[in-house]
Amino acid sequence: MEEADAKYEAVIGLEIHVQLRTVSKMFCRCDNDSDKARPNTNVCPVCMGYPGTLPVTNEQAIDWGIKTALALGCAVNPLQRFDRKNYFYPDLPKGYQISQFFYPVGEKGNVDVDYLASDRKTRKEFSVGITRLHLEEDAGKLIHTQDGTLVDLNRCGTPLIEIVTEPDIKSPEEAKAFMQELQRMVRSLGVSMADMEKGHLRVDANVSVRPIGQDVLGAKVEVKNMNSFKFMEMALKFEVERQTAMLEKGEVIEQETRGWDEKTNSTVSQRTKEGSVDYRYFPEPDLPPIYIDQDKIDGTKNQLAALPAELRSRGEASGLPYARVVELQDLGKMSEFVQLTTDYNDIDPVLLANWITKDFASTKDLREFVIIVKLEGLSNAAAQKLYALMQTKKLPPQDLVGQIQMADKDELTGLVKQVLAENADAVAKFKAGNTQVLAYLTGQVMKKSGGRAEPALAQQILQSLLTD
Amino acid sequence: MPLPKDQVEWVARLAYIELTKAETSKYAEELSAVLGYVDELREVDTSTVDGNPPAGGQITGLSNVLAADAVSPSEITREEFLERAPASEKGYIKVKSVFKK
Repeated sequence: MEEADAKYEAVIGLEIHVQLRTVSKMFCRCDNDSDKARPNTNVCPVCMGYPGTLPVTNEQAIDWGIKTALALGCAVNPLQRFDRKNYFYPDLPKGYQISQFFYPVGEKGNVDVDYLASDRKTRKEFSVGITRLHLEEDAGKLIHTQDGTLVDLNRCGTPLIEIVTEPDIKSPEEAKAFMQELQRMVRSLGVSMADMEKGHLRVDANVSVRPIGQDVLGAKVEVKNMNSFKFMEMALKFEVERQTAMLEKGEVIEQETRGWDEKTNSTVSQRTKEGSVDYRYFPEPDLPPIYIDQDKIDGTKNQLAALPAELRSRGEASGLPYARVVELQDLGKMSEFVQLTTDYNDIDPVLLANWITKDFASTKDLREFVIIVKLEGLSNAAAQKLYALMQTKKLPPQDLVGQIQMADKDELTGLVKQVLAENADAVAKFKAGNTQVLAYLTGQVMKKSGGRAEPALAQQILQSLLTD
Repeated sequence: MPLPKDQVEWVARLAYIELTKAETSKYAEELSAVLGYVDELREVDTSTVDGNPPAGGQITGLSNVLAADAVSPSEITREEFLERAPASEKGYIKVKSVFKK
């Protein structure tokens, strides 16, 4: 869709599940890390719902739920309670999922997202309302084979955060940007590994398209099975284009669930189960309510570290271009960058950004290196040499910079001698009092060095050799 | 008054139970009796009971029952667990294909 002549607009809302990286499960003390476990080894009578067992809520999951809700700008409910969501499926041996329906952890949040447009230069921004955030338990995994379905229940009972957004997202590009920001957030909060390919972070989208200017939303299509950022963007793009084409032809869009099919690169209608779903939510009788006092909420809020968006804006404020800020953040270097530029305001942000991704023994070594490179006006080649020397000698930069400068001077002196020998005319002119040729000779030295020499040092050597 | 037939069938479908016609009428009577009993409970005057209705939906008086996030070993082994399943294969529970109808 070209923006200039677009007649339709997409309206997208997301429903996201984030697996918490707690040590044990949500309501029992089974090992929660089953990435490498054999099937059905992390199961116990509680998560399997054997009669007479009693679930007990994981305190860490509650705390992380509150922390995440606050980071997403939600109001945290002082009363939290779990409810049973009833349905029958082989991935859920209890026959119900323990979730929060009536009293979620948090509600009415908002996330401001800034992101790098596809041109890799422009900074774009938008805002997404958060309808609610609640805690629940994950279900098991099913593997479909020729003659049946195989069930692994290790994941059954893993704590999940479910986040529902308002339909504030206007394009597949924005949806991807929001998910990437959410991934950065939960990772920086330390609550989830948030790896989409591993299913730590899962997303379903509600997509509708309407003529621009129309208030009423179009028929909502739920898109599922988008298990990477790439597939999510492709699936949403396909779905928006499909619905737009239908509207242009005057066709009626049916409210349905569609799944992304990576073989055909399209969304495919998923036949709905007969009848509407009826989860018959009711308060979980085995779990007493949890009261969260205001001190705890305030304390958690005050202890929140700077979120990714704040780090980006501080990175930008230090003078680094936005594209570089995003790049550094995705390499996991933004908090170190912000820390250094905040604590040492004489540090050169561009130089720091160039070197922060390297393998320095310590932040102190990095900081001293960047400061010395700037102070001594080292060329990139000289800086590279200094870095290599630090790696081999395991010494701080101030102990090694002299050697680099000395080596540079020796090499440069050689070049200067060559240039003088090749430009006897210019040398004669200089000796006759035409000091202007010094610039020409400096240029020749620079050329010979392939642009690597320090112009100031080259000129200094030239002058000393010429006036000898 | 017995529960309407379609509601009994709906409840049966949610529970994945197949009912014969005779069973449908039988459960219509029995479920109606249960619902009738709940209606009867509703008539009890609770205005004299102390305190507000508990928002937590419980009358145990308990709250904030939480456990520290630490692993403790399961009381059942994988073998014991799989033995309880109708069928298993290579450590997985095996069920009828969920896609087939």
